[in-house]
Amino acid sequence: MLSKLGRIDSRVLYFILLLSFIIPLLRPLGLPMVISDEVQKTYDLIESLPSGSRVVVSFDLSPGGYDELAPATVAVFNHMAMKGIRMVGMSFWDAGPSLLDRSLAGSLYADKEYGTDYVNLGFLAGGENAMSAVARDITGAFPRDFYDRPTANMPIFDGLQAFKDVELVIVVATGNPGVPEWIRQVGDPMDVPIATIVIAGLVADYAPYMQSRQLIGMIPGLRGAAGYEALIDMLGRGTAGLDAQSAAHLMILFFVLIGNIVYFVERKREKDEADEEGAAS
Amino acid sequence: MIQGRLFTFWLFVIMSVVMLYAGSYVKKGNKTIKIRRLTPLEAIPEAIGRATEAGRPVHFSPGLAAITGQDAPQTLAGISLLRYVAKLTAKYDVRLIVTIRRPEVLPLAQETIRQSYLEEGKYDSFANVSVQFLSDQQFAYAAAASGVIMREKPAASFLFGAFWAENLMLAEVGTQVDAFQISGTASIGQVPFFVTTTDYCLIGEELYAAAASLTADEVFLGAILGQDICKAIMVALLVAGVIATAFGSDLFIKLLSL
Amino acid sequence: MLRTATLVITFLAGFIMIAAFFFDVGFLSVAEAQIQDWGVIVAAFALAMASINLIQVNVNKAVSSENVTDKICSFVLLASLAGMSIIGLTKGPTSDTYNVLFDGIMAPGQSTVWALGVFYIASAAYRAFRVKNADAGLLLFSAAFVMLGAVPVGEVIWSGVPAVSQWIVDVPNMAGMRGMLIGAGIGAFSGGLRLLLGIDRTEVG
Repeated sequence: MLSKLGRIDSRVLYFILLLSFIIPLLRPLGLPMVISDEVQKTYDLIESLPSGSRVVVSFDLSPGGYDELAPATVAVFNHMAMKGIRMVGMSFWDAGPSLLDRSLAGSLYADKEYGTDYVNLGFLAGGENAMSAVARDITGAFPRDFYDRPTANMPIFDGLQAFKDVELVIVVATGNPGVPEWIRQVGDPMDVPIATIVIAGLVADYAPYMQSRQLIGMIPGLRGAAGYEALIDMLGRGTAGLDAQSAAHLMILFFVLIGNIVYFVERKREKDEADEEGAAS
Repeated sequence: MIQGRLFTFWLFVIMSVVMLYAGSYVKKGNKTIKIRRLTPLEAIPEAIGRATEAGRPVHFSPGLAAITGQDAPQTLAGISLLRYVAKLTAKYDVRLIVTIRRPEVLPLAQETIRQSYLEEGKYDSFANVSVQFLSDQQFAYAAAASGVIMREKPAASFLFGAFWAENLMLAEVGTQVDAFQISGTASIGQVPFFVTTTDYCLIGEELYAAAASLTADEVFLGAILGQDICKAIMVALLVAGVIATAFGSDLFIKLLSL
Repeated sequence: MLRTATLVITFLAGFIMIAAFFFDVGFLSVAEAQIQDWGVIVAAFALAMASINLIQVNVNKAVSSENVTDKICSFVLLASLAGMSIIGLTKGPTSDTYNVLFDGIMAPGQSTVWALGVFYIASAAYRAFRVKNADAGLLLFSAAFVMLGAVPVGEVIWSGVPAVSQWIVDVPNMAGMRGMLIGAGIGAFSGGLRLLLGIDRTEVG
């Protein structure tokens, strides 16, 4: 029985894991919500900004990671829109602008005025070099937006030339260029606060920046989204996915446990067989 | 001088001087430095030997980063290791498959392999090498590289360079086709996945040390010595900074913002 | 001769970039911007070369591969490449057709591959995370706390789980991470310096 478990087909594990996702999605367990410190800090900072403040949102992500980050992004956009904060969106990943459009369409910004309350500047090639150029002169680096409209005469840019004039930068990130580059080009030299909405897999990488206060807020994936949705009292996809995430974590730990039981039993059997052979010879 | 970069500038100067001095110190014949062995590097010929015996190809990925930006050194270290692997595949007539994510890495990889085959006197076998650009999208590359590994069933898979969330996928697919896998990355968050899923892993700076070890002996020893002195300087600065801050001094904070 | 020219160009480009990082001098900033622009142009040419490589490899497979799966995959790739390029070039990335393809195929396709990662974690968890010694035991114990601490069920099991999880992330994990970061940073610096000064010529052939 145990030796069969040791040689189990990976697809059986995949199927069990899939079930552990699907069942809580269909029948939520109603587990209590935990709001982490880093999510609370991001919320507090946005809450403290006066109406009319300008926040840059850099959509530095791949389409693959979008689904994990979309719930948190929409929750933050809703909060910003409710507070009357103006949003300047841009991207240094080629797929970013289209994904930014999707998030904007699903948030309260959809009812706001384009060019006055929010803007999607599109994609700029060049990674960190391009970030540096934009930080010094936003409309100079983006003379036209994602829809090929001139940016210089948009009301949102009245009195806004460089990043020193923005209150906060939020980096929606799945990799590099992303958070470390923004810290190097804007956070440290211009003293602009930086927060991030980031995939869970990068939390450990960026935790040192939180401790050194080079990042002032971090919303990690689905878990962060659920917390943020609770804070703004607008439950959405983040909250819905949280039970499924709990079940999957438990299932993976269960796999580790079973794998180790099989390992120990087989090791003991091999040892016993070796001892018997030794005694026989 | 740009505001806030004075301290970094002097650190750059000191580190450069240390590195160059360490290089010349070793070059003068003072080779009394003992360094530990890099087991993953020593396992490369064994892995290629297995591929030779099995008559199966070898897969190599120089990571997902470009040759510019902060992860470029990882890609270049990966290319250095590709040179070594290509020499061995040329020597033993094993088919080499290289999968590429970044367009600008493609000519670099092609040229490196061509040079290796020339040096081994096996230029005719160069036609046996398949260097494939797959996609510059992270997960399109991961899916395509996994497909290549599944279909070609390499006996050895080398993953050296910068990797992100796709690394586990590449390593697990390698395990499924029973490939002997050696990895190396300085993408710190990804190290645990490689450590648990591949046979050997070069952790963090070991990747650079491995790449340096393939150059002339004195260059390698000089680089290792220089790096260790620089690390000692960093540790001293860290300890001094912690003590100063613990006693309420903001000297280091001021120093860093000069 | 060609190798010397490569080394000289490498040194000059690197030196200008480093100098422009530290000093606010007009001509250095101009030179830095020029080098960056050239970099973008070189990258664009590299993309063209890579596309040719992609087409060559897949046309070969589509025509001469004995494996039917290989043939089908290569044919689908070539058709997608041609279709997306034509629509992108003629209608632009904000057109409805492009958006339908992006939202309907590219984004969900990549999300699927991303999501597959969790299944690989499951099989790796079952096969590779073995308590072979005390170190591995400690690793597993820490991993269990961090995983449970990341989701609400951890607190349901024991109220102390989130605090222990946070401590593991903030203290031992952070210490290790920083050590590796500093080491990797110095390694990268050393490699870069050797390359710029032509001490290590591995990358220039």
